[in-house]
Amino acid sequence: MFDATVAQLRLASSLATGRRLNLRALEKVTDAMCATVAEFGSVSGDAAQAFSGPVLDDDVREDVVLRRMRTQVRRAVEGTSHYAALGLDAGELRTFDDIARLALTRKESLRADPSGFVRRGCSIAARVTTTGTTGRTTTVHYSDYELRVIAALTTNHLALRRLIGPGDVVAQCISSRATLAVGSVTSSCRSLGAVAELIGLVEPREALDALARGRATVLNVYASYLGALVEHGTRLGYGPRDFALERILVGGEIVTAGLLRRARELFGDVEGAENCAMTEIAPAGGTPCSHDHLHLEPTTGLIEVLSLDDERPAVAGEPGTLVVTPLPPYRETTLLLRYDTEDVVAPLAGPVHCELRHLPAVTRIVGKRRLAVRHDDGWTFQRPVQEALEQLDAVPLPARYGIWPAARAVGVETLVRHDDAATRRAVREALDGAGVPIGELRMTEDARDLRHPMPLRADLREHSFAGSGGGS
Amino acid sequence: VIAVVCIVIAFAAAAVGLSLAYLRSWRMTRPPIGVFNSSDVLAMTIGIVLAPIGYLVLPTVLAAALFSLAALAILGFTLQPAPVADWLRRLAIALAAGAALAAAHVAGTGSATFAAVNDVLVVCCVIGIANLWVQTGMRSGHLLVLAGLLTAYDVVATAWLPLTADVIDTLGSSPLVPLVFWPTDGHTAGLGLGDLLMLCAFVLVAAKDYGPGVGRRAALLGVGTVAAVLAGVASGLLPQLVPTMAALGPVIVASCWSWRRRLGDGRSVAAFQAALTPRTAGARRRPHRPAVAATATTPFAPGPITRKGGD
Repeated sequence: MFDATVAQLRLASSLATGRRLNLRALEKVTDAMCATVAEFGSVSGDAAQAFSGPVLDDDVREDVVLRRMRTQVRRAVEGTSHYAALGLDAGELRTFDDIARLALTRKESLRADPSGFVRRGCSIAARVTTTGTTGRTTTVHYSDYELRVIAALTTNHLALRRLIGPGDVVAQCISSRATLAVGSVTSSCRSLGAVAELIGLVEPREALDALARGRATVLNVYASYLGALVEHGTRLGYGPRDFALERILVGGEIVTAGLLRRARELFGDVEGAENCAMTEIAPAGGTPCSHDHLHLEPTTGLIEVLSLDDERPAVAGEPGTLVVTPLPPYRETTLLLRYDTEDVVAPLAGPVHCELRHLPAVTRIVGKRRLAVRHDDGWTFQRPVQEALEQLDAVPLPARYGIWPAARAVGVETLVRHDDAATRRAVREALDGAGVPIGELRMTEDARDLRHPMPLRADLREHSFAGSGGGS
Repeated sequence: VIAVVCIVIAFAAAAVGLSLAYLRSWRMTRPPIGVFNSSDVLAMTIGIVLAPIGYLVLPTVLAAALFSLAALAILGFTLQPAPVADWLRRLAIALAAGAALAAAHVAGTGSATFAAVNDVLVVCCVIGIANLWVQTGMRSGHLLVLAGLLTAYDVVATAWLPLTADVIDTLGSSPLVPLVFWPTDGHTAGLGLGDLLMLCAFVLVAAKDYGPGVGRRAALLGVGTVAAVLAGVASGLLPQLVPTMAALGPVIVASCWSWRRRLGDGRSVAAFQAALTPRTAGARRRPHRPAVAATATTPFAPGPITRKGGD
């Protein structure tokens, strides 16, 4: 305890001043947290403050964020070729209105020249690529310092939420190219006394076999691949007795209630936990709460929600794109100022009353802006469509569908088991119930017939010798 | 003399019994992060070595005041888990302080009245400290090292140097003395606070790490050793001021070494507490979520959004 207390004091000093975190102190506190979990079975919520600092009132928090934003702008201008060319002046950033005048950084800019965002003099330890579900993959450079900070924060979070603990077997069905996610969760498992197993995005039949044989207790998985597992598992006759799963950590894509319901039919009485992470903005990110809000940690990144139409701050209930600036002392290599994630959320009206009420909140992500449809009545995003489709057993998982502007409303196409009148009626009713203005509805029994299919991470399939022999 | 020795042994036995009852019944507030480890052993050893020197360097009144305040603070956290209102807890601490002051000034520090009040307070403090150690994760390995270090210190400070005697002289007139003692004509039997603390920690660690059976054997062994030392002093076989840890320390070290060799590292606090609470047969392992979910958001760590059936 004594050494952990000293380490916490050192960490608190870094968090208060915004100086680089002392890695030894950070890792000492992480180790102490893991030891606490092993000894006592859990850690109290107060432990979170060791990593994020104390809960601040709004004025102090805004001051801290403004200071860190100025530091990041100065570093970006002095250290990166992209922002040097923009001629920004950190000294002019006195209020959030000044920040709002900075130009957004688009995904295309980062994709086109990732090294243009890398701060000169930084020691790069990893080039991490995104999965590229909205286009070409994006590369983000990370230093050893950042990787270790991300791993420590991930461990902290998993321990606090009791999502992974001693004795767990954690199967990871995510892309093995997702090095940041795989690396940090594997590192957390090692610290927490759990066994990490990277299954990858192999044929679902193989993954199901590995889950059953390996008696995995935790599954870390993309939403669409979870859908594929459910679909194949049901078809192959698996049931709850074949698995030892207790928790499913699902994310990377929209997670629907229908998907989780159907997953429980296959895997049994499991607990679902959703994540909201993005390689470009790590370690800034979001935590969903039990009230369906997405809570954003304000000290790791400056979070803005901008209107989809004119980039002004979105008002409560208005869909907007999530714009994030990862801040020091967490981010030091790839510097992104006002990065447009293209993830769409909406600010909430009024105060929230959930367990994370001390953190700023928005709605859950409703979709990607470039995959959404603008029509006469506003916007239609992926979430309502997907929620409607995945609740229907007539729609195989993961829901394969497309949306497009049609007849001043939305055209919807979807893969179904049987293209018959009953299914068509059920799909239409579900979409109507979700508030999707249907201009055209197409159904097909063959995924190749889809004209506008949404990209799914489950399709980033990895091959194996075992899988090539059988197929599914 | 036999009666006096028996009274002191009774206080020691009561401290052991009440410590065990406390361990089984009450949960102390622990730091959010951290488990008792070797850094605590080192820090405590340094503190134990330096504290008596501090008491001797400081003016007597200041030393007595500091020791008394520290004892009241310990009493405060010892009573913290008690299921009573805060004001009642504060009242109990104030009454204890008042009783100690009154006994010292009215009856005198050499009186049986003062000894009774003092001994009760010292026992309460020992119960609190021993439980704090064990409830924050002290294992037999830590106790083994601590006992070894303190045995060496006690021999040096008590048998070779006049340090312990000087500290007792310095604090002897304060309203709280770091001893469990009982006066009688021409003879005072006593057991140092540190010795009693190690005795209680020995029994608690045994019970927590290896179960109630080992705990009972440790209690018999520890109290028996202390009784033998007190009897030796009372009979004149041993000098009046004897380093009790010279006898108790090797017993603790040998016992811990033997347990670790035969029974392993011992149980965690969670396993000990789980053993106290019978589980429903066949219940599936599912840790409940913490009530407070105040946490930093992190990139690849999920947060709860859907509990089973809560979609």
